[in-house]
Amino acid sequence: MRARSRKRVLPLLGVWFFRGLLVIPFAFMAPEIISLALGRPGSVANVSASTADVLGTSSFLLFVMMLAVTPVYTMTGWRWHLILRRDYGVAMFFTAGTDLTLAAITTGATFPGGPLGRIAGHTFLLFGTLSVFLLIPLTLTANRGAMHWLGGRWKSIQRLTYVLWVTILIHLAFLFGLSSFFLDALAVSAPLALLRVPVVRRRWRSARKARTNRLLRIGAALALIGLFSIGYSQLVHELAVKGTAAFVQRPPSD
Amino acid sequence: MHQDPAAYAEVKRRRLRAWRVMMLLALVCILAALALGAFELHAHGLNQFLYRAPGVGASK
Repeated sequence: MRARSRKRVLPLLGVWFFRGLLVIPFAFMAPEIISLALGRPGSVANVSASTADVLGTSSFLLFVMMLAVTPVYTMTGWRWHLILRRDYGVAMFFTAGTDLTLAAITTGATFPGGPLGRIAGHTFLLFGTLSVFLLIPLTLTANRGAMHWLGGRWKSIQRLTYVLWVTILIHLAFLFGLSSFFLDALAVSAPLALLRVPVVRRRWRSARKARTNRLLRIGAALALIGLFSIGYSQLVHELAVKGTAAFVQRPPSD
Repeated sequence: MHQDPAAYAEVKRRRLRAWRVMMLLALVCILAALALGAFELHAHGLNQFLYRAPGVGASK
C-alpha cells in the first residue's frame, strides 16, 4: 500500500518540480520589467542588455528540455514526465514571446529603424522572430481540444517543431558563429536528434523491453548524456550568471 | 462498434479542414516574418542587414 502511494507521489513531485523551474526566467527578469513598467531611470537600458541573455537563453533551454522528453522515454520507458513536453513548449512560447516584445520595445539604442528593425533588421533577428512566429501554431495546437479537432493530422502540425529547431540553430549560428553558444547548441542537439532517428529509437525500445544489449545501451547512454551535459551545463551557467545580474539590475553592457 | 460511414466521412472532412487552417496559419507566420525581414532589408540595405558589430544582440 505504502509502495503504491510512493509510486504515485514521486512522479507527481517530479512533474511539479520541473514545472516549478518554468518560473525562473520570469523571476530573473521581474525586477527589471517592474522598473521598466514604473519608468525608472536606466530601466530601458537594463532590459535591453538582459532580455536576450536571460529570456533568449531560457527559451532555448526550455526548447531543449521539451525535446528531451521523448528521448528520455525511449531510453528509460518512463511515462510520468510526458506531460512536461506540452508544459515546456507552452512556457517556451511565453518566454520567447516576452523576449521578442521586450526587444521590440527597449533595444532602440542598439538597433536603428524602430520596433520592426529591432526584431527583423538583421539576419539573426529575423531568424529569432521567425522562430517565435513558428511557435504560434505549435502552441495553439498543444492541447487535447486541438488533438481531437485535428485527429491523426495533429502530429503533422507538431512536426513544425523540427523546422523550428533548424531556424533556432540558424539564429544562433548568425549570432555566435562557429563558437560558444552555437557549439553548445549543437552539443545538446546531436544526442536529441540521434535518439529521434526511427531505426535507433525502434532498436533501443525493443532492446529495453527484451532486456538485451544492456552494456551497449549503458555505454551509448553515457556517451549521449555526456555530450548533452557538456552543452547544457554551459547554457545553464550562462543563464545563472546573466540571470543573477539581471535580478539585481546590473546587467553587463552590450 | 461501427460508425456511420457518413458521420465518419464528415469527421475526416472536418479534420482535413482543421489541418488546412493550421497549416495556413503556419504559412502566414513564416511569410509575416520573412516580409518583415524583406522590408528591413529594402529600407536599410544589405550591409546593415548582414553586418553585426561584436557584442550586439547578445553580450557574449
